[in-house]
Amino acid sequence: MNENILLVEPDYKTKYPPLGLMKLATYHKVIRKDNIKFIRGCNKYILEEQWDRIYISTLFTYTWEKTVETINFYKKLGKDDIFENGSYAKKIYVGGILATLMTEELYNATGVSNIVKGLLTTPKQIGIYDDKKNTNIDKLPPDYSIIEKINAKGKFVYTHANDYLGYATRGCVRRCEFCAVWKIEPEYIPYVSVLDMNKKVIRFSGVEKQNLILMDNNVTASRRFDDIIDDIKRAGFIKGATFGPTRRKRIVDFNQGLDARLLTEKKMQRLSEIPLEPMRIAFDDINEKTTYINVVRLAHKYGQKNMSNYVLYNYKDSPKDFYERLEINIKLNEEFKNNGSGIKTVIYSFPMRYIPLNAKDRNIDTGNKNWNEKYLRAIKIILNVTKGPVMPGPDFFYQAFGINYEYFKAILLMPEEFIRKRLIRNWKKYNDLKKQWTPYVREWIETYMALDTKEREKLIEILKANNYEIVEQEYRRKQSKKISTLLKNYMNALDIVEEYNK
Amino acid sequence: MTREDPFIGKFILDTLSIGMYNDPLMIFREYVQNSVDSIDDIKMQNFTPKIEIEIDGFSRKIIIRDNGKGIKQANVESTLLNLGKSLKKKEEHRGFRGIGRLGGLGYCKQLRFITKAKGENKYSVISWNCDKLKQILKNNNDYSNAQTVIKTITNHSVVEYDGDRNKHYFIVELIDVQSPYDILLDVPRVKLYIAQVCPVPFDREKFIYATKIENEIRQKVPLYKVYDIMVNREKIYKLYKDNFKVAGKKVDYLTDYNSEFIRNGKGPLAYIWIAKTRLLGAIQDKEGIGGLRARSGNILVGDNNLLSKYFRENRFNKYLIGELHIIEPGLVLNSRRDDFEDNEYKEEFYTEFARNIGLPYSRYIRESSEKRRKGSGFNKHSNLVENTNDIIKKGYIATLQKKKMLKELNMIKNSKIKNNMEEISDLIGKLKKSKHFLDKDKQKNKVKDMKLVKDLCDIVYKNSSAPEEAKKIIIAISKRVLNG
Repeated sequence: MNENILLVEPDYKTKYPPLGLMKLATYHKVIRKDNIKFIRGCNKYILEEQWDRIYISTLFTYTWEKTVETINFYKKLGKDDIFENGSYAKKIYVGGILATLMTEELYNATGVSNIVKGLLTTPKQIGIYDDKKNTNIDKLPPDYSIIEKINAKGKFVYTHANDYLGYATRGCVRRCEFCAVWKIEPEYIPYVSVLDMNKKVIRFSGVEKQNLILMDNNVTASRRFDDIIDDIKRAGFIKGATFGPTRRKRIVDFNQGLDARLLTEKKMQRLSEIPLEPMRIAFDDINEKTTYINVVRLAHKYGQKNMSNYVLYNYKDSPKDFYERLEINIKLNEEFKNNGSGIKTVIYSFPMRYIPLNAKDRNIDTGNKNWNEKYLRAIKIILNVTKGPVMPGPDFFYQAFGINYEYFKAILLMPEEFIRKRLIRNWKKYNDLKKQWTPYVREWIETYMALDTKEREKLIEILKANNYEIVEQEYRRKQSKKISTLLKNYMNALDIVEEYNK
Repeated sequence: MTREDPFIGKFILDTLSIGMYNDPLMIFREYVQNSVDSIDDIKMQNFTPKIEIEIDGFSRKIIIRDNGKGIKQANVESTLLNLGKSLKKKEEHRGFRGIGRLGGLGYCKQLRFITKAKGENKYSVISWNCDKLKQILKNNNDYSNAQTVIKTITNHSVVEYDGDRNKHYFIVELIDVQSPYDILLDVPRVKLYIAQVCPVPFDREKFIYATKIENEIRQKVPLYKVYDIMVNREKIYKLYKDNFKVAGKKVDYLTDYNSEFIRNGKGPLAYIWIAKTRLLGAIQDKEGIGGLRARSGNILVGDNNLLSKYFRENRFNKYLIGELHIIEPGLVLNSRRDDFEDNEYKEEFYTEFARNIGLPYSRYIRESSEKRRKGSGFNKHSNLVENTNDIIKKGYIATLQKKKMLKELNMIKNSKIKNNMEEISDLIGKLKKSKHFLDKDKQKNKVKDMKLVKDLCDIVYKNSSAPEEAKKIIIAISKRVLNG
């Protein structure tokens, strides 16, 4: 029987195509011979057709609002009036990260109870009982054609639409509190055939893909690590491999990162046989400093060029050790540049703000008292210039984050407008960082540096909530002269910056 | 002549359960109504009434639990198995026909009533086998009478209770719930339904007039009461709020409300409050507050359209926000609760409603929309943006002016219109940082006692009835001060 199947991804930002929906597309199109349609976000014209099943994928918990809005949109058949009946709730199936972590809350907010927790391994999870083969949908090759249509329209483009997307392992051996993997994929599966998956994709879509993106959560823990590397090589991803007539470089990316604690020299050597670009190693905890530095040096030894390393903050760390972790990467970059090895290893740091597993939006108090609203906002503004990464060079780093921790704090406490426009127009002419600053920034930092410890604490107390009203109130109260000057700057920041940049 | 006892056949059960209601959600109204009546029977001080609803879509189960009076074990069968024989009194209770509890029969496989009265150490469980009922109804060869059917499909058991003897409760359980579109398991829909139909309180956080209106209704309407009702551990409030969306994605807000009695020659029939708004358009359905709605015992009568036919055009009711609370006991609800029983009160009520509310408001709505069409009205929103930009650029003339502006912008911001949120937030940020116009660049330091002049500006602005006039005066004063 041909059913009409609608696949929906809520229109949150993402680079990666919705793998779960792509596998469902394969299942319904190839195995059940149904009609499928894929769509991003809410489209009222879609509801002019009759649908037998609607699948909605979910991603991170902070996309909560958009996700609930999308589910409720498709649920109500376009009708708003509570006194009129009709609903698709029964026909909607929801799965993915948010759905797994917040099942009950999602049901309470949408009334949809067909929620698949974790991996979709049998059709029974989606109320299909007549599949005699009991197909493991998770193991089906994804249907790329559904995203090609979206990419072709150009309104929304998935960056990785033309890459193999898959896994060489599932789950993770660790149980980190800040991570959802062990809740979604509780079982660690040390081997999944990359080779088979790629073959299926080729057979199914008729074309080879250039790059290989492996979303393994901890491939480093696999006892079949060697088999996995062999598979990747056999799939055509050997260091130096090219693709197509234009001989474009092929790359492999374990985009969820590698576990430094498990990366032995042997494994590092094996990794150097494939075109890993970039290598990603998390530097989440300052206590792992030695391990981390050793592994990065090892990667350098085996010729790894690009490294893109996650730096978790706002979890159990402090701004101080966050600064230190970033600086370690800068120092390692300098070390590699000057050690005469000729291997150009470059580390980009990717600061990642910790968001609790059940957070419904990004701005949430995690209870870490070392961080506050003002600091977090300031980090965001500093990183906004590069859209995320911290550049590898010392010039950029000391410029953006200050020459030491005290300067870092001074920058974090500056008015937002100052942080945004902290450099004079022709700053590149000057080597001295202080000369690169605009006069108001220089004045701010100088005044801040002249504060005594108690005054600094007081200032942080006033600014930490990042609330203009509080600053205004405190300004009206009696304050020390220096604090008063800083607060005045804070309140007039917009004018000061505009005045200067006229 | 001896006459036969009339025979009451099995189908009466069908009519009294599923046949009674055109919307499955109505069973929540019926059970909540029973809970509320049973809570009202408790005349104790220091009693915190509780009505809790649990909906579990995963195990397809609904539970409605109250800590009302419960039923004494000796009375359980007569109360819960007899039909159309309620001990409730019309004057004190919202329900009185003794059929509401059958509402769940059509929507589950098993319906259970569990109850315990104060001072007893046992509780009773009455369970109805709804599947069996369906079989009997379907079977054309079964000519049982209603009484026999009830006996066959129900079961009564009494269970020892080890807990506190003084506890009292009534629990309704619907097991293996089946309803069209699974509507009874649709939590947000049930919440919306309860918020609009059941006697829940106004939301003080969202609705600035909550306390005022509630107090007023309490004074004017003798039977008015509110109850805490929880759905999946969330407290439910009426949906009334300060600003709301109307047709064409516009946002309107309340500035105040009017209230009055609907009377016949003898006394008040009902009390009504109607929000003052700008009447910009029909209120969007999803807000759940559009239309004047009638309530009896603070439970909705019919739906949001009951009163619509008494306007010049039905749609005009959707422009309005308000509630009408029945006072006159002669206005009795019909058994479906979707209108009143036909009697002279009903006729008087609708006539007076049309005369005093329906028709005059129809005229206001038409007039205000004509005014807007002719362009004599202004688009407040774009005007607001313009004025704000003006203040940011030139400075404000009085603290109150800035405050008012901020309040209006925040209202728009809180109303969550998606399209220009960024712009509004940006404006708010800039406006907060804006200065008094006397502090703007050149004027600085020319006046010795700046604070006095500013205070003066504030006083002028605060006490003038037209902001434009105030502006003229303030500018005149400042010119004089600056030049002199």
